[in-house]
This record gives sequence, C-alpha cells and structure tokens, in this order.
Amino acid sequence: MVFSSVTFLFFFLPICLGGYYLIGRRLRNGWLLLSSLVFYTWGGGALVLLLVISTVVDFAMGWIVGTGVRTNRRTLVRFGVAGSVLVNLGLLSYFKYANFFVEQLNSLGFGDIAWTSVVLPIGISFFTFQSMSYTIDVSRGRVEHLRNILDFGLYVTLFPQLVAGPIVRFHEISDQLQDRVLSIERFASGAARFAHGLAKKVLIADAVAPIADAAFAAEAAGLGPAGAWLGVAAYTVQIYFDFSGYSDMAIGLGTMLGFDFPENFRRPYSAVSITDFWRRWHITLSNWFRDYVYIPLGGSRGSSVRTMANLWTVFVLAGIWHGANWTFLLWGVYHGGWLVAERLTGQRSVDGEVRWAPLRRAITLLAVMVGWVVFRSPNATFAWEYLGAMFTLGGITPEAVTAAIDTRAIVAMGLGVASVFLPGNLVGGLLVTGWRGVRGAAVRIAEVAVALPYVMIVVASGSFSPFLYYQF
Amino acid sequence: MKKFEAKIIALIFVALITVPVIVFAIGMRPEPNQNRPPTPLPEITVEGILDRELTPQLDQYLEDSLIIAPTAVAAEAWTDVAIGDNPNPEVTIGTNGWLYYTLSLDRPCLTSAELDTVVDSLSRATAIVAATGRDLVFAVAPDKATIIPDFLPDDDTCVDENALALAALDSPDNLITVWDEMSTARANERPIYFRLDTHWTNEGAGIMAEAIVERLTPGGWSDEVITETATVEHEGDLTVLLGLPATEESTDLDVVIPGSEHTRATRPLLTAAGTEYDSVVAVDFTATAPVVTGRSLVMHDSYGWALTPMLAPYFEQAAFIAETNPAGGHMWNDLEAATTIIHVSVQRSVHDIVLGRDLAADFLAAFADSFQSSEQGTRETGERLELDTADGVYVVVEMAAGQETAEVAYNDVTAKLNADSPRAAYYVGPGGTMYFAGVVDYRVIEISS
Repeated sequence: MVFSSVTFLFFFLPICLGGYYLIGRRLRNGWLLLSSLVFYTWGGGALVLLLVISTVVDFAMGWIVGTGVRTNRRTLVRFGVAGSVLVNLGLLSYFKYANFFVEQLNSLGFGDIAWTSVVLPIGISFFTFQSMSYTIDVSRGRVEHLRNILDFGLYVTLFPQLVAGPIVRFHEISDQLQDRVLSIERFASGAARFAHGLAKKVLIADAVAPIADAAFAAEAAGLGPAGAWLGVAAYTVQIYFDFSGYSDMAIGLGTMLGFDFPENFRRPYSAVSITDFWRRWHITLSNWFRDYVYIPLGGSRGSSVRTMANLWTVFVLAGIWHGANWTFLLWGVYHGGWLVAERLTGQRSVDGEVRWAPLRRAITLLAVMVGWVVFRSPNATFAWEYLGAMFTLGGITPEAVTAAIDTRAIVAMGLGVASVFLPGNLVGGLLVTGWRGVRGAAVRIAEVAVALPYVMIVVASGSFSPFLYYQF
Repeated sequence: MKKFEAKIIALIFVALITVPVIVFAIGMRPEPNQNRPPTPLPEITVEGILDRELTPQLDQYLEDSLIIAPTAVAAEAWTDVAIGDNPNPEVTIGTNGWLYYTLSLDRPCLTSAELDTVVDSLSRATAIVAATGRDLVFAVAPDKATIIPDFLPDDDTCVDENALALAALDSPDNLITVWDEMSTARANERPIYFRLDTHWTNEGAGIMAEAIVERLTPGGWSDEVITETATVEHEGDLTVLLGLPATEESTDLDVVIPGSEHTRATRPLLTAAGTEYDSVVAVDFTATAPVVTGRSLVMHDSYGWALTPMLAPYFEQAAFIAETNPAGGHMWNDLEAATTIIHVSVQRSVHDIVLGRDLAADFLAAFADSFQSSEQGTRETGERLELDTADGVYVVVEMAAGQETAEVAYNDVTAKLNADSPRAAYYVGPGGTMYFAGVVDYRVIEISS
C-alpha cells in the first residue's frame, strides 16, 4: 500500500488514526502493530511472515544481548549480535541479491544453475537495518533490551517508515515506544507535514516522472543532448521530490501518532560538495552506515589511507544496498570516489560559508546528476551511452520525451529547479513545522486546506480508466 | 503552533479524510462514470490475501466506491483543459469544441501493397460467400475526421489519404463507401456527426442506409419515410473518455414505411456447443411490406447503432448483431440462415479487420461445411502440417471431438480454439508450416476468387 493511493488515503488512514485516538492508551501499541501488519500484508501478502519471523528472531537475539550486557557476559553479547546480523544480512542477501548472483554466475559460464526467482519483500532493506540497529544499540549499552515483543514488533513494523524510511535507529525511538505525547498541536503539525509530503510526491515527482521514464526508455545510443539532459533533469527532480516527499509523509504520520522520526533530507541539491550532499541526502542511511559500519571499521581514527578505504567501503556497500545491479555498485563507487577526492584535495566543504558557493553548488549538482544517470540506468552500457549523449552533439530527442512535456510537467520542473534556489527549508518541509508567526500558520493551513484537497482529487481521479466500448 | 491554528488544521484534516469513509460506510456509492460496471466486492479469503491476488481487486473496488471519484475525475480533467493539457490522449481536442477519437487519426497511411491486400481480401471473401449462394456487402463508414477535418488541431494524419484510397478501390459492386454523399451533406451543413462523440448521427447513418438499400433493391429508398422522433441530449462518448461528461442536442430519426408493420425482438446467440453466448445478442426485425426481401444479417461495429433504426424497417427479416468477426461459433446460425450479409465497420477498422486478420478466411471458417475438401487429416500436439500446396488455398482447422481447447499457429497468427469457436481458417501459401497444440482436424479447401 502506498501513501498516495485511494486505499491508504481514504480508508486505511482514517480507520487507523480513528482507532488509535479512540481506544485506550494501553491498547494503542497493539492497534498500531495490527495496523502496520495489515499495511504490509496489503502489498506483501504472505511475505509478512518473513517480517514476523525477523521480528521474533531479533527480539530473541536482543534479549540474549541484553542479558549478556546486564551480566557482563561478552560471549552472550557476541552471540546475540552475530545472530542478529547473520539472520538479517542472510535474509537481505537471499531475498535481494540471490537472483542477481545466480544470473551473474550463469552469464559468466559457471554452468546453467536452475533457479526460481525470489520475490523481493517490500521494505526488506529498511526493516533489516532497523532490526540490526536494535541488537547493536543494546550491545553497546545505549538502551536496554525490550521486555515486550509487541513493543519491539511495533518498532520494526511501524507503518509510516516501514517500507521507505526514514531508517530509525533504535536508540532514537526506544523511549517513545512506551511513552508518547499526543496533542492537538502535534496532530496538526503532523497533518501539515503529511500534506506537504503528499503534495511533493503527487504534484511534482509524479508530474515529471513521464519525462524521465521516456528518456531512460529510449535507445541511449541515438539520444541527443537535449533529450538526455531533459531526462536526467526530470529524474533529478523526481527522485528528490518522491523520496523526500515520502519521508515528509512518514515524519508527519509519526508526529500524528506521537513519534519523533529523524529528518531525512536537508536541501541536498544546495550542497557545496559531495561530502556536504551526503549530510543532506538520505541522512538516516548515512547515519546508520556511519554508526554501524564506518566507525566500527575504524572511521577516521587510523591513517589517511585507511580512512579513505573505510569511506569507499561504506559507499560501495551503500550503493549495493540500493539494489542488486552493477549500476548501484558503480554509483556507490562513484560517490565514494568523490568523497575520497574531496578529502585528498581539502575541498570537502560543508558550510554555506564557503567561497565561490554558487559555483560549488553548480559543480556538485552536476556531479550528482551524473551519478543519477548511473543510478537510473538499467545497465552500465546504457549509462555510458546516456552520459555520452549528454556531452556530445548529434542524436535526437525522442517523440515520447517531447510528448511527456505538458503544462503540469513544466510547472513541476520549474518548482523542482527553483527548489535549489529557494530560501530556508521550504522544500525540506522544516518550514511547515518550524516557521513561526502568521506567515508560518498561513503556509501550514494552506497545505492542509488547499494543497491536500487538491492532491486528494488527483489521487481519487488516478484510477479513471474508462472502457472503450466502441473499440471493436 | 498556536492552539487555534492547530484546531483549524486538525479539523480540516480530519474532515477531509473521514467524510469519504463515513459516506462509504453508510452505503453511499457514486454514479458509474467509466462506461463499465463498478468493480464488485471480491470474495475475501485468507489464501487470496496471502497470494496478493485479492488486494488489487479490493483496491479497484474501493476506488470505484469512492464517492468523490466522479467529481475528482471531472475536476482533474477540467484543470487539464484549463491549463492547456489533454486529460486523455485517446481524445484529440479540436477547435470550436469538436472532439475526435485519436485512434482514428493516428493510423499509418495505407501503402499500395496494403490496398492491394484489402482488395484481395474483400474479393476472396465475396467469392467464398457467393459460392454458398449468398450476397455479401461491405459498408465502410467514414471516420468523422474524414468528412469533418476542419476542426482538427493539425492535418498530420492519413485519414483523408486513406479514405480516398479506400473509396477508389475498384470493387464498386459490394463495397459501399459514402464519402462523396457524406461530404455533400456536410457542405449542406447537415448534422451528420456528433460534435462530442466518435460516431455519426441518425442523419449521417441514414446516408449509408440509403446506399445499402439502393445496392440491394435499386429505387427502394425514400426520404419521405424518415420521421423525427425526439430531440434529445446526447452524451458524447469522447467527453466521457475525457472525464468531462457533456451532452449536445440531437434529433433522433426513425423510418416508418406506410402500410408496413414491424416487429423488434432481442434474441440470445448460441455458441457452437449450444450454450448461451453472453457477450452479444441478436436483434431481430421483421416487416410486412418490406423493400428488401429474404433474410438479412447485419454484422456491425458501434457505427451500426445509429444505422439500425434507419435501415432495419426496409428488411423483410433481418438480424442485427454487434459483431464484425464471422468466425466465432455464435455467428454460424445467423450466417447460415441469411441470404444477404451486410458487414458494417468504420474506416479505421479496415486496418484491423481486413489487414490485421483475414476476413475471407474468417468467413470460410463459418461456411466450411459448404465446401468440399481436397485433403484432410488430424494433427496432435507437437506435430506439424507442412503445406506443400498451390498458392491460394485455405486450410480449415477444427478442434477434434472431446477436446476442450486447442491452438493452431501459422505465420505468427495463433488461433485459440474452444467450445464457442472450435474452428478457424487460414489462407495459405506454398511451403508454410502449421503448428498444433491439442488434437485438431484439418481440411484443405480450394476456392478460386
């Protein structure tokens, strides 16, 4: 179930929120857990059992780790953490990468391995990472292990962030599993944030998506620079407004339910370096890799060579985390390479207070867009040809690309491009919740009273598919 | 956030998301707006949920049941039109409020080879039907854009070129094209097509009815017998496709032949297996003072709806069936009973009906039992039929007794045989190969054009 669907918006959400606020405080976690399982089962079917198994195993491992920490028995701690990591990475490896692995072996001539494709469970990359953060946080003594499996189940399955983040590390939310503040101010703040995210997704990301889809569906070898740049520009806008819109919705829903989820984006296309970009883009993933991979690898405490190797390792893993394709690996290598290069040249600026900021922003955005070409391409050859089309003359703009440019797409592209130059945190959503005074109130009320009804109209009309009865 | 602001936001948000679900819960449903029945509530089973087969049906059910859906569709379409976008590319928005069906505009130009194929296919179909002692007439309705191109947004279509090519086919006796007559009517500002609909009006269809009657009984047509029955608000099908249902005023016409009594009755069709066919029915007409004698069968596409009241009263006995493919088993009884067969389709369908599939072979599938075969046999799954035949013979394939389904493939055209349509036919050349799945009887039939 996606947030921008009729089923979620008009049926699941009111029933879930209504039940949550109407039932007693002690039943709320159970109600939310049940709602989250329904939410997952709606799209995942029987794969919900995987989520349940993962939850039960990690709860048991967390208990073992917690017992080890409390009794100072390091063997128990190591066993519990290793068990949790093995189970979660095992699930992730099998369900996300096994198809790709077998395909590669077969293509490399290691025999014709008979293989039935595995269905990728929705959100597995997110819930496995969250589960691991629980056992690791308990092992580090940052939090105590949970005594109630329903509370842990709620942490793993909580529907607002279950399938696309933000990735909430356990220590960030552990207190809220037991004790949450509900108020009309929080509810309203969450509603405004949810409306903001839904508008970003439906009105901007979805409007420019046909341009990107058409460009990346074309024959890259015959593509001209105009079509290629248009395609990657549209994708640059689409991926940001889609993903950050989803995060806004998740954070807004969390706020309505009494949770404080971490921010996931902070105007990433205004970054002045790739290092800066990764402190603004998918922040919770960066934090997860920093806490649970980069620092355990040694972080920046060793030699500069070791630091750079650690950096590159993290980005290669982050690339693969996004999907089982060589393009994601290349994308990780590419970004890791930029970070190493910036570290070597001392150009890893992160503040707004840098010289030549507009030029740095432009160069960074260009580097990010080149990365998006690799990320969006179906294979490395396509990506190479597409990049060639961007930087050489000749070729054509496919008719499908020009056909996708309508008024909505133009307006959405305009807003997307303007987002790089807009002040404050407008597109990041912080303005919606953080802006004080009359102007802030006006924006928030407009989000809910104007933008939300219009987005609901767009969503409700999305299923219109009349039958052409006269088309014999 | 101040409490007052929070109350306003919370109130609006709660109202927006709860009103639709409350309305749904008390049983209110929207009026259907999509030319199809709303999706019913599927049977809810644990297996269906776990297999992920049920939830898409539930999504569709909830979408169709959402009370604001028609309003939302109209609002979105209105917004699109207001900002210069097209809500549905299947509809081409012309000037002066005229709408066109895009599929009728984006057909490729017919090549001379394709035109030759059209001529060949129609003449072979004529020969097959004539060999059974029946008369076959093809009536091709001009696309709206052919007759009224003035309001098209651009002229980058082959509509006119294809129309001229079809009209010029040298098969005047059994191919009726009314391009000139329709153009003259258009020049005289007669309302022959709807502005908001794909189709012609009764008045436009009357021009084709006249041509058909004159072809079957020269001098039999009379303008005097046309009467106006009502002024109605006709909902344009193209406006429904756009999501902005709208009507236009139109005059319904009828034909009343003095001294003739008419009957009209609906009859279910039977499949080859004798069961009731549930997709199409036959509408039977009789007249006591007919102009066209004998029993006629009018096979038609959606252009036949406006044609029916203008044409049916002229026949002694006629069955009107909204089906343009004669090969289906549910058509066989009516084809067998008819002395005259009239095939009505719109200009753009010539691509699909004549070029996309072989209309002549489809007629032969229906009349196969009227012909002697020069060779016959049976093939089973995995076996082939090497066609060492002279150029231009037909192979009729029929599912063997006791089979439930079978498939036959020849030249990338696959016939799926079943209880309703157990038979198919191919016009084959020498050296081809036919592939089989299931047990299939075949017979080779030679017919000279």
